[in-house]
Amino acid sequence: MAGKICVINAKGGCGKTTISTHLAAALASSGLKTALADWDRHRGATHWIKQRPKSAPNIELADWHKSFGKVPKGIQQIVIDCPASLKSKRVRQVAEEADVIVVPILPSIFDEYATKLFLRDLAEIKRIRKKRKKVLMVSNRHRANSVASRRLDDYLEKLGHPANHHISDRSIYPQLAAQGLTVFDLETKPMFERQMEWLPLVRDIETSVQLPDLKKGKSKKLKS
Amino acid sequence: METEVRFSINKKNKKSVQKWLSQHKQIFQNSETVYFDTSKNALRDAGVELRLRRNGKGIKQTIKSVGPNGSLFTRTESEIQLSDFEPKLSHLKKFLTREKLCRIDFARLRPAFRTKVNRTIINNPTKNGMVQSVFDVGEIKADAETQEIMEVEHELKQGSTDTLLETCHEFLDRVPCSIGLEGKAARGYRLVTGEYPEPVFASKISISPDLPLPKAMREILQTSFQHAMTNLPVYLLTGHPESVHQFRVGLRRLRAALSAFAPILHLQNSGGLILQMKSIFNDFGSLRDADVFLDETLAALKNSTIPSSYYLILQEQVQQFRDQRFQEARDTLESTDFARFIIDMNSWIDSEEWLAQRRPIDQLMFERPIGVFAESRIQKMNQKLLKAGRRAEVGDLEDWHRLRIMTKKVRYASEPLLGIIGGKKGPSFAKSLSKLQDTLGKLNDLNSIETFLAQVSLNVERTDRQAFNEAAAFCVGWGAASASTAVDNLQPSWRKFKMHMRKTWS
Repeated sequence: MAGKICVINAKGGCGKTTISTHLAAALASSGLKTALADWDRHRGATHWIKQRPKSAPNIELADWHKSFGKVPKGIQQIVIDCPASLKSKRVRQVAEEADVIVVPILPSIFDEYATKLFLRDLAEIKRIRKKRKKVLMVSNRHRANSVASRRLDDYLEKLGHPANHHISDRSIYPQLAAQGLTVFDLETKPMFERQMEWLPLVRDIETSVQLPDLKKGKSKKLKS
Repeated sequence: METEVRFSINKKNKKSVQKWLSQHKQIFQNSETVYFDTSKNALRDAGVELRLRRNGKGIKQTIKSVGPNGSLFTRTESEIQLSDFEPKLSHLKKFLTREKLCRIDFARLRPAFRTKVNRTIINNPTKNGMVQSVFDVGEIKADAETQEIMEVEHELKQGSTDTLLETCHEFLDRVPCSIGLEGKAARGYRLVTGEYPEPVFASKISISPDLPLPKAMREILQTSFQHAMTNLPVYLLTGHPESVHQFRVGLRRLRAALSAFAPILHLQNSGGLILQMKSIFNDFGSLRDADVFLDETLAALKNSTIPSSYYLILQEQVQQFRDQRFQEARDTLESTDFARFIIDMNSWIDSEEWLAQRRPIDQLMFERPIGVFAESRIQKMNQKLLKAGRRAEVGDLEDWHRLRIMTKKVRYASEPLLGIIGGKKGPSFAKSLSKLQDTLGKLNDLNSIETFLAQVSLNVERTDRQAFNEAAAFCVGWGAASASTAVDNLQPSWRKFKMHMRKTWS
């Protein structure tokens, strides 16, 4: 059974698709058979995969709009780019069944408020409330010296969900996304520096997701 | 654990060794060592050597594991001081389980053979450690039989294996010698039993799926390398054709493992070792071809309409060619360059420098267990095999030849991985791959007759050349006709394999 990484936040535009594509690319570049499930209504992940060059490590697309819950055959890890909501039963079910939940958040007052409500809803899931499932808070577009980023860190600390990881604000991300790439697909010194920034998050995810037993690696569909 | 590299010295190079040793303070000793075993050599069969050594004032008991442990030059060793010259059997508990110990009849323990040597010892300090070098000149004695000893052993006493490598290179630069892969004990047992070593076949590599990728890879590479190396003394002592074949199989397995994991390896920093390995492998190729021709092709030809004069000249000339190649191969194996290659290759495998570590993301890969990659690697190789098969189905002999090479690669590279996956499908797939390789191999033997005999022809005396060429032409014609029939037979074998493969991995 594939490991499931759910990238979710009820607030739109917080970088769910950027985080999802990067996590998928990191796992694929490090030798795992990886799929990216596109469940966001904007279908950014689908568009991104279509742009992706053939020479880049393969990431399989799972279109969850067409076939909800489908995990392609032989896949070891699936990253789910979720819609900006936790209201529907299905989203809740996916969050419940995921091995780890990644919550991107931007340093802005609007995101802080929306995330607070989202985390409250998330806590309704028993395994999350009982801290049996890891929820990783990722401060996205982080600027170490900015007031907004510092305030976000303090805010999350007070909420009881301190930021586990920081991804810095760089113009390279949208440039790479337009070509279907990530920082894991290029071998230049600046890209290596960016990879270093992502490594702690990927490692943290790996410790939460048990790598699938290959002998039982069958395709599995979520209950729809 | 003992890490030690041994070099055999030719008498004519004795002075060079003494000159090299004279750079350091030398200790001279007369040493007598007695190896103990039962009359049926139960200790050796249980995988240990037990010896008592008297030198200077003390008596030392040493127990070593038979054969390498982890790395080619590493063995498990334990030493204790004794007050009298009687083996202390409780010491064996460190090496053997209670079950194994119970099976040994210690009442029959007796001195099996002894060595008497004049030793020159130096302690060679380097920047990062210390190596002890010992020059032994003497003999091994067993009943009425004796064998001379002249060898240098470099043992790592402190520091990393780089220290040992450095000393070995420094030594090889000054003293022409050959690698000594057989210890005194192995030679002593041969004197006792009169038994020559048999070709060593590949042992099953059993790797836990939880082992991190670099460690698992290292184990696969080391096991393959050691498989090749353990056949060297067999080849040098007996010239057994199978030992040449197994030597090449070991190197091929090593190359196949490197090729199977190529995407995550960085082979550019091997310092030419891969090329050197390839060249050694190819050097032994014509010897192997000669063995196959003499054992298999000639046997098949005998049943054809071949005139006996053709048969005899082919047999005679190929045998001569084989003897020449055998001597050349022997010279290669006993050369200083080959000794250098062995120690460098072993060190390169142990160093894990073959891992691609250029991207930070590679760190993640190397923390993962091999089990995560095994099946996907096999699937990837199978896809290549299917592609080569599709070409061969509609292609010519050359395409079948390519399929044969791919089958070989997939077979050798997938064997350790199939063990990792476990279950029933591994052994069954390995068996069907081996069957396919055998069928394709027969075609190759027929297909390569022309090239091989052209090579032999270069060595044939001018007076015999005309007769040889006529016989060779008959043989090539026979081979081409047989190859054409063999291709027809290959189609069903390939289809059967393809079906089995799809069933296993779907």
